[in-house]
Amino acid sequence: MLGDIAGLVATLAPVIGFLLWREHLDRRQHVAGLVRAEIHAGATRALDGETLLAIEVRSPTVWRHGEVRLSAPRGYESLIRESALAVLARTPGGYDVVIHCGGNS
Amino acid sequence: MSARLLAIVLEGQEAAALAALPTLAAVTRAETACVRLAYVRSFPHPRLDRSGRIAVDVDREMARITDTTIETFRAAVRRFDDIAMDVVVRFGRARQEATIEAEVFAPTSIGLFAAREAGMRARWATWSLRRRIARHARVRVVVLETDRLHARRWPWLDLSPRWQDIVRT
Repeated sequence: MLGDIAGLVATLAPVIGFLLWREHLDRRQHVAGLVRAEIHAGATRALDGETLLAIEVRSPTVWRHGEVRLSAPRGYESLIRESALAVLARTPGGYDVVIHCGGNS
Repeated sequence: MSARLLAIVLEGQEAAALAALPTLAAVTRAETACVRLAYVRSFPHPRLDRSGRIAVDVDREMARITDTTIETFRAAVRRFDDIAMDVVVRFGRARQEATIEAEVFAPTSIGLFAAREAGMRARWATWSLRRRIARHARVRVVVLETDRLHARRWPWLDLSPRWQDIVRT
């Protein structure tokens, strides 16, 4: 009886562990999505509309802080400068801001 | 408390820092921060003449590097009229010196520079410094990443970009 239960637990543990891990990842991605939406809204307002500014948010892990990555195509680096205030103001704690400065920045 | 931004330039990141100065200036304006740019590098070796005797000792070499660095960055910053940037040079272990500088200056944000296509060593130095800062200080880290436009023949060897490459452009 005890052996059967142990066998059942041993069989189910990896499956449950995997599901919990996926749940954790999904939650992290959801939070990163919220952060990105907030920052995108701020940047859009600061720049008076949609622009070529790319915003990517990486969720924090055990090993590193989250990252808010800003980049713009070459020649459009001024977008980063103009939206810097809005982005910095909306970046939550635990996130680093990574600004990709192109050749013309 | 007014915003204070500490920009840390590690050895070998001089060109990246000069290239990213306009963005740093924009971040500074956005936060209306006062800026300190700290150039951290290892102790220089004394200069020897042909017979192996010391021609320039370490102290004088440090003074020369300090003067050159301050002059170069002040010249680069001069085009941003509205920004007062304090430039300091620190010699020693990068991570330790950067941490001490962060404790002394008590910044609200710390700026780091990184060449996007830099070699493993430079990337490791920046990454480990970021982690150390994150552990020791509750400040926001702003990483200014640049394309490595000036890599010459062997970019995979992570040769430090030369200041002249940037200054000439």
